[in-house]
Amino acid sequence: MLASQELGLLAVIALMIGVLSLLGVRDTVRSVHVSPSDTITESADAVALARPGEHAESFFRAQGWRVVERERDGVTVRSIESVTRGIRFGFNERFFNTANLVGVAKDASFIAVMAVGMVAIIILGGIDLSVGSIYALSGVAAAAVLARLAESNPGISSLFSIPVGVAVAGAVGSACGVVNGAATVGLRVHPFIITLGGMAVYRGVAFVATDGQSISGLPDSYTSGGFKANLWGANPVPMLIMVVVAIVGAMVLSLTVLGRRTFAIGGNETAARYAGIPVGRVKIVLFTLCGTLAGFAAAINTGYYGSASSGDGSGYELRVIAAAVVGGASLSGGRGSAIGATLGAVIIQLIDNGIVVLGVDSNYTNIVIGLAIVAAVVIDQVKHRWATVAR
Amino acid sequence: MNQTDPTSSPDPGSGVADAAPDLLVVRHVSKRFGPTQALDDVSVTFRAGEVHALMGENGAGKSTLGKAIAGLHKPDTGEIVIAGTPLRSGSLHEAFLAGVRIVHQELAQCPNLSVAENLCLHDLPRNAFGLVCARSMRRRARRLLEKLDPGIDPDSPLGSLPPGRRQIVQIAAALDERESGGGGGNGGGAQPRIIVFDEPTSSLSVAEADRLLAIIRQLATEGLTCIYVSHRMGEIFQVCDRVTVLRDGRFVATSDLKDIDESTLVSQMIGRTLAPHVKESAALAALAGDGVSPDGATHAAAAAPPALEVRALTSPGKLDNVSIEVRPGEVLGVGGLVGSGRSELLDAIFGLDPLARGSVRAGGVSIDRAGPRGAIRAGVGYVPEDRRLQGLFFQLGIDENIVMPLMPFLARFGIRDGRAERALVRERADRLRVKAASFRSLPGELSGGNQQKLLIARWMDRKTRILLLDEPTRGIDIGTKTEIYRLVREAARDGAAVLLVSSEMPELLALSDRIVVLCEGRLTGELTGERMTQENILRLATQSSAVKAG
Repeated sequence: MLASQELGLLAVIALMIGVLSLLGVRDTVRSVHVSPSDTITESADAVALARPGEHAESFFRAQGWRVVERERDGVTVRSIESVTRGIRFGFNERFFNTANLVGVAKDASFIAVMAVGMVAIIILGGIDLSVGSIYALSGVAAAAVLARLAESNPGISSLFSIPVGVAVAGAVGSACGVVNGAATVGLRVHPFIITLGGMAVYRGVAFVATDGQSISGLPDSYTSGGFKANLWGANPVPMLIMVVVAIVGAMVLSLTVLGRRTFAIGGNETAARYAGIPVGRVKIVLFTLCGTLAGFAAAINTGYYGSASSGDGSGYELRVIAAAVVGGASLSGGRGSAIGATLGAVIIQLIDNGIVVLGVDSNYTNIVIGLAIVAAVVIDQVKHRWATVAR
Repeated sequence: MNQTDPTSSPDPGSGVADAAPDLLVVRHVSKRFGPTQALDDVSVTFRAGEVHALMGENGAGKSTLGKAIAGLHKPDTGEIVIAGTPLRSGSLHEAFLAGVRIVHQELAQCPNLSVAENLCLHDLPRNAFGLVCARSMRRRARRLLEKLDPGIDPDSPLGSLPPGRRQIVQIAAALDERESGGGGGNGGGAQPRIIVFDEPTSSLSVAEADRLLAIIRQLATEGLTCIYVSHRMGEIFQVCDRVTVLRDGRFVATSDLKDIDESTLVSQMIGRTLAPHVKESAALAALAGDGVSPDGATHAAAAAPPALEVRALTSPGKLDNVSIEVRPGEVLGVGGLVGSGRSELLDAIFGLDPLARGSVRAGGVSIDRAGPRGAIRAGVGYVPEDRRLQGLFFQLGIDENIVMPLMPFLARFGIRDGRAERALVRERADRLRVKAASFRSLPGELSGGNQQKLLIARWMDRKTRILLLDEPTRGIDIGTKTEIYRLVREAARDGAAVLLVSSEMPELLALSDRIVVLCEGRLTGELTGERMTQENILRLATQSSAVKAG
C-alpha cells in the first residue's frame, strides 16, 4: 500500500529523528573574573571587550551577563558570565525519549487527522480553508455538552462520555462540511471563496456562542480517562487515532468507488461527467467528510487538553494544507495520499519540535517550516519532471 | 464550369476583378500536421479588391491555407508572394508588415477590457507621466470604428457586446495601420491590403451576418482583398467574386461565382468520383472482408421496437426540435458540418445538457431527467469527441480509465471489487488489443489509437444497448481505424443501436445503415439506401434548397 512517495517521506522522518537524536545542546559559558573593586582581574575567554583592569561589571551587566560568585580555594571569586547555547554531537536524550516522541505525534495528530480530509479535497481539485474554524466550533460544541454532562453526573463513564463528545464534534463538523460542499456545488463558486467565508463565519459562531470564554470542566472520563489516558508511561491515544485515520483514509481513497471518483474528478472533471460520475454529489460528500474529520480532531484536542475555546486552531488551515502538500498532494488536483498527508504533518511537527529541542530561538520556527514546505514541493516537482523525461 | 489554372493569367470574362492585377500568389504550398497532409501542393492567385472564397469540407485545408497566408502556419514547402515580394514564411510579423491581417473566431481578445483598450492593446498610448492616456486611446478607437460601426461605444467592455459587434471590433483592429509594435522599421507596408476572414459568421445571427457581409463588400470596393473562408453556400454567393475549392488539402478549382451554381460547387467539394478517398479504401475493404456489411443486420431488427427514441429534443442555441429513432442492430449516421449540433445532440441524449427539453427513451425507459448515470444504467455508452479533454484521466492507470464508468456496478456497498475489475479490464483490453506495457501504466504513454480504444472498451459489453460515438476515429492511424470499424459493426451485429457522428464522409457512408443530417441544430433530412451519398449529405448540411430531403 505504500508507494515510493510515502516511503520517501518515511525516510525523511527517519533521517530527521536520527539527526535530532544525535545532536545535543551544550551551553557555552564565557566568564570574566572581577575583583571586589569591580575591575577585571582575568579574562578567561577571548572576550574582545574585556581587558584586565578595566572597570567593566556594569558594562557587561548592561549586556545581560550575569554575576556569579564561586568558592575557589576558600576564596570567593566573583565573575560575570554569559551562557550561549550551542549544538554538539552526541546522544540527545532531550529529544529521544518516549514522552517527547509521543508528544510530537500528539501535536501532529490534530493536524494529521484534518490533513486526511484536506488531502481528499485537494485531490478533488478543491481547497478547504475553513478546517481551523470548524475545529474551533466543533471543539466548543463538544466541550459545552460534556461540561453540562459532567455537572449533572460527575462520575460519568468513558463508555458514555467519549461517544457523546465525538458524536457532537463530528456532527457539528459534518454540518459545516455539508454547507461548504452544497454552497460550492449549488452556487458554483470556487471552494476557495466559499471556505474563506466559512472560515470567518464558523469561528464567528463559536465566538458568539461562547462569548469568547474558554470552556472547561469536562468529565475526567473524557480527558485523563479518555483521550489523555496514560498507557505505557505516555499519552498515546491521539497518536493511535492518527494512525487509524491515516490507514482508513488511504483505504477509502484507493479501495472505494468514492475514492477513485475523487481522483477522476481532480484529474479531469469534464471526462468525469462523461464517465457518468455524479460530480456534484461526490464533492458534497467529500467536503462533509473533511468537516467531520476536523470535528474528530477537535474532539481529540478537547479531550487531551480538557478545555476548548473559540480561538483554538487558528492558522491550522495553513498547517493542514502544508501537511497535505508536503505529503505529495498536487494543488491542481488528481494527486495526493492520505498516508502522505499524515507523514507530512509529522514532518512539520518534527521541525517544530527540533527547533525547541535544539534550543534555537522559537521565533525561527515559521521561517524554517515555510522554507521546508516550498523545498518539499520543488523537490517533488523536479522528481516528477525527471520521471517524465526518462520515460 | 469555369476552371482556371491558378498560376496562369486570370480567366477572361470574369467580372469585378477583371482588370485588377494579381496581388497575392500562393505557389505550390504544402503543409503537414503529423500524419495529416493539410495542404498538398496548393497554388491559388488572389486579385486586388476581390472577395475570394475558400471552400471545402471539414478538413479540406481551407482554414490552414488562410492561416498560412496570415503567417500563423509555416508552410513546409512552396512560397507566398505578395505584390511580387515573397513572404518569409510562417511569420505573423512579416505578413503583418506586408499588409496581411486575419480575423477569426479564436483570435485573442480580452472580453474584460474595453473596446478601446482592445483596439490599442498592442501599443497603449501613454501620457507624460507614463500612465495610460484614456483620451487618445478613445480617439484612436473612434477613428477605427467610425467607418465600420459608429454605434459601438469605445468605453464599453468588449464582453458586453453581441458577437456580431465583437467581430466588427476585430475587423477594426485588423484595419489599423499601426506601425507594428516595438519593431524599429516603420514600414509603409503596414497598410492593410489583404484580410483573411476565417469562418467569421459561424456564431452570428442572420442580421449580424448580413451587416458583416456588407462591411466585407465595402472593404473590397475600397481595394482590399478579402479572403473569405466559409462553408455557408448562401453567403458565398451573396458576397464573393470568386471561389477556390479545396479537397483533402489539394487545389480543385478556382471559379467565377457568376459562372457556377451550387450543385457544381458541391460536386467540386466532394470530388466528381464518389469513390471513397484513397486512405479510407483499405479500411473499408478490410471491413468487407470481415463480412460485416452495413445491411447485414438491419433486416432482422427492422421489426423490433426502437432501442433509442428521441422526441423533439430542444436546447437553446444548440438543438431545435430534433427527433430520431435507432433500432437494435442499426447504425444511424449523423452528418453535418462542424458546429451543426452533432456533438450537442449526443450530449443531450446522454443527459449532459441540463437545458435540453424533450423526451429521450432508451430501451423504452425515459432517461431525459436521469443524467449520465441514469443513461449508463439504461444501457447507453458514450465515446465523446475529444478524448484528451472529455475522455481520459491522465493521472489514473489504463485499468481505471476503462473501468471508471462501470465501477459502481461492480462494487458492493461502495467498495471496489478488485477481482471483477481486473477480469473485466483484461477481457476488454484483450478483445480490443490495447497495446500497453502494463494495466497500471498511464494513458499518456499510449498512442492516440490505443487511447481511443480505452474509451471504446468501456462500452464493449452486452449491457450497452445504445452506443453514442462522436468522431471515433479522429486522429488515429489507419490500422486502428480498421479495428474500430470492425468493433462498431460487431456491436451492431450483437444488437446494439449505434449513433455515429463523423466528419469523414467515406467512414459515415460505409458504416451507417441510415444517415440523418443536421444543420444549425435542426434535422434537415434523412438519407437511406441509394440516396446516401456525399453529395446529398453536403447539400443537407449546407441547407441547400436544391435537393429536398423527402
